[in-house]
Amino acid sequence: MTTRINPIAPRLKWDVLNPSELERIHEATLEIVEDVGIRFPSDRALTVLEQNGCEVDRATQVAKLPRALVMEAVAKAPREYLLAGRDPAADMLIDGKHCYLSNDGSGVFVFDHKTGEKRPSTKQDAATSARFVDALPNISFYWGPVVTSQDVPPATKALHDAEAVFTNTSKHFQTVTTVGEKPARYVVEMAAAIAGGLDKLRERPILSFMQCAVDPLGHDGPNLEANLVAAEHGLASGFMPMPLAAGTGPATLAGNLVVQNAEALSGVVLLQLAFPGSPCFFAGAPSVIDLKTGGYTGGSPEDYLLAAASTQLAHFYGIPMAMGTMATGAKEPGWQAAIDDSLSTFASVMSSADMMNGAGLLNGSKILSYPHMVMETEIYSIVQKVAGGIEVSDETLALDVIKKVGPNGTYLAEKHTRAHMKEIWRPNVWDRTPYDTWLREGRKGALHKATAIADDILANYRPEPLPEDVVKDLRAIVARADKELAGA
Amino acid sequence: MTELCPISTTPARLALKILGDDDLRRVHAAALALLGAEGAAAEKAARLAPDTVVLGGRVYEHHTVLGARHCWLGTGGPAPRVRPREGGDPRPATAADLDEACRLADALPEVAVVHGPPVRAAGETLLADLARCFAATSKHVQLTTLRSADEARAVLRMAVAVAGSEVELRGRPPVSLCAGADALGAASVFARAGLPVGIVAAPNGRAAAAGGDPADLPVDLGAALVRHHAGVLAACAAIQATVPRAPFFYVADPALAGLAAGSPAAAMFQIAATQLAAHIGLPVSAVGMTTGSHEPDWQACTQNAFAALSSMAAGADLTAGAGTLGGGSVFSAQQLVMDSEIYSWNARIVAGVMVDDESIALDVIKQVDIGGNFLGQRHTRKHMKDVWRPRLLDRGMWDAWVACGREGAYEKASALVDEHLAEHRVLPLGDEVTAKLARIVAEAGL
Repeated sequence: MTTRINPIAPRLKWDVLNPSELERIHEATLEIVEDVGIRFPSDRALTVLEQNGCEVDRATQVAKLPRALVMEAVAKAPREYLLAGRDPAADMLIDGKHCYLSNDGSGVFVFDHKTGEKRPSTKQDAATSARFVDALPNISFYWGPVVTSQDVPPATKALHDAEAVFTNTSKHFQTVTTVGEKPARYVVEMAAAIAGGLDKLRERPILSFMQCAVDPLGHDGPNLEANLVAAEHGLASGFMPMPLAAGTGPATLAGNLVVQNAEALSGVVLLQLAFPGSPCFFAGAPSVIDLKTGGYTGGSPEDYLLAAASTQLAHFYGIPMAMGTMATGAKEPGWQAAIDDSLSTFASVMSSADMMNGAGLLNGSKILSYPHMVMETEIYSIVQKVAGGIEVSDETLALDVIKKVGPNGTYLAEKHTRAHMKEIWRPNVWDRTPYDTWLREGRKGALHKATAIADDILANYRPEPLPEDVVKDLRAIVARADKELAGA
Repeated sequence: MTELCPISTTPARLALKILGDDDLRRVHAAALALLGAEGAAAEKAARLAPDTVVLGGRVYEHHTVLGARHCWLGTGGPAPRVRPREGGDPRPATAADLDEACRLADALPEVAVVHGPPVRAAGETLLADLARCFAATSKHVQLTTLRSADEARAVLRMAVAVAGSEVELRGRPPVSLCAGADALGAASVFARAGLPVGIVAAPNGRAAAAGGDPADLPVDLGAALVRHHAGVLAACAAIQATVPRAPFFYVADPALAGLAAGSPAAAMFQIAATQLAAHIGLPVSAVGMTTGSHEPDWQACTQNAFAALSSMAAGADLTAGAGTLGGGSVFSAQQLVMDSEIYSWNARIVAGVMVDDESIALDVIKQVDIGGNFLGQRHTRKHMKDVWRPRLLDRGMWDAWVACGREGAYEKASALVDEHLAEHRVLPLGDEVTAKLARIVAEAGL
């Protein structure tokens, strides 16, 4: 079957933590979840935990998780599962062998590359961004939305987001704005309408859920309830802690990993106790505090170490990882964005993060820029090539050819060169012209080329449409939700 | 006032590998096979060469030790053209540009080695350029364009003058040589005097033109590695035959292997070459930061970030090439500062994650409890300065950035360049040494 997506199957492996270091962080994590506990501000969640032997304090909403129970629950989580696209050619098998890139999500502005100004995002922007992501093979699934619908009732924003996304991409959709049980049930209903019913949705889950945790050592009630709805229907879900070293986590990276691990692990334990065997994943976007402003750094070397180490920890438990990747703090697609995106992608891929979220936003995941998203897919393709490693065989060592060409010969006319030259990576937006050519052609750099590609997609790309009756069904579900949840 | 900035370096704890053990042995064996009857002797020579090499500065604080599991940064060069600091199109480099480039390298704590030298001043000889380098930095100078034995002898006399004596020269050699096959004669002169060299004896025909189309490049990366590795082994054998245990380092330069600068293949080559060097016990000088971009922009950063990370994460001792554009043909002061920042990011990454009781901080996590804040903790105050801090990034709010004129990394780098060049004073060579160098340059007539 042809495929419309282009995941990375890394052959390189980069271990930031050695086995004994992993074990130490794991042990410290178990001590925290058992002795300190985790806050689960949801009666449904606390009931599940209590019924399974956790010590629960209803007043503080804190549950202490016995270490044996933790490991027993984790063992129930599937190691491999499908995240389906509406188009089967966009299916993702989460199997620990592939890294899938998504776009970034939950932005609130769109950068107009023609005027250089930003404006608040709308439902139309969520739709356009889904269409754009659908066109890019290096982006395997749609996460978010990239930018949220801010021109709709806040209570049903996630449903309007979902409608915009489902109608504009046939790739898998992982929602990050659906919180609370009722909105989650509506979004699942929308996905079922597309899939042909809840059973079909379970077979080919075109929807998954991700929620943030509340650092340190807590979850958010509506987030927990939304993920429990996902697990109930066999849809994959995970929790994304974002501890900020020196703020909501210890200043030292190992301690920060303990906090992050405790939060992600506790979420998985809850899901497995409630719905054993439901697909789940760890997620993370760990960072350090910016000592100058006290804010989020939006990219630093520590972030990438934490990302790689967190991914190792997830895989230590046999759980897939969705890692915050790219998501630069830069305001424009320039030098700062390049270093953030290059190094973070390298770290995520070399540690084999199963999902990477993602491309397209600037300024700490706030501002959507389409040319920027195109440039980030170029970075992805570079890392893909490097992660592919070097094949060493008689054919690739080409000892006979080397001997034949000799010390000062040329390989250009060799049959071996013709057989392999197409394997050489070629750029889409990098400029490799000599200086004079570059000057003569108007100094067109990567941004210029990326802008042309982005403009072409925006003007011409059309995704595979949903059947008209399904579009009507989705519209009706959103209207019902507007009435019930937003009083509209 | 003279400022002596110690060099900033980090222990490298990570070891990125691209070749498995079997593949590594296979590439090595193929290289030995390519050398034929000389293969076994070449391997023996490489294994007997020292596993550490000192690149001396004029002062202790500027010494660099290759092979000590630290990563260091070197400039690129020599570039025949310079991008003016105030902006505009590149122009031929002058002696004043060389002075500035070396002085800036001297001021930047990340730069350990003045490789090249960074610019080739129009109308000046290599010896005259070297004399200017010695005056404008007390850091180690690594030559890349030295070719003739006569020139090498003159350089040697200059190096003795800078070091103080032949004995001191061996202890802290202020100059080294990193080059291709045509520098073997010069390298032998250096080796006899104890000056470190890194040579690739058989550059294997076509070297890639800077910015060239990769479709013009030869065959597989595996084959490029075999040829390159054979070239290093052959050179090492030749040098060790001249002077047993002469300081020799492995040159991992993608250009010498015929690979396009800044390409994914170049990054992969550096990781593999660094593994091959470790396999035979030689320290590594990787020439990686050679972006093909014509401006210090997104492309330059992407290419150099990957080049630096791949060589540093693999364990290369020196990553050179900082400060150049257009495939090494243009020097830019701003680019040198920006590449130094890239090095700094990567140095923090390859330092890894420390895992012990203090860093796990279990008691602190318990004390802060659920929903608490670590900001006021003693543990945080103790370790917050360990957090890496940028010089060129903007992490503020959008509106503040717009109000400040949308200042980016380039503008911040420009300000740093101006500040360093206005304030930094290099440790003087002394009148006597300066006069000696001038005399040697004049007498050499090269």
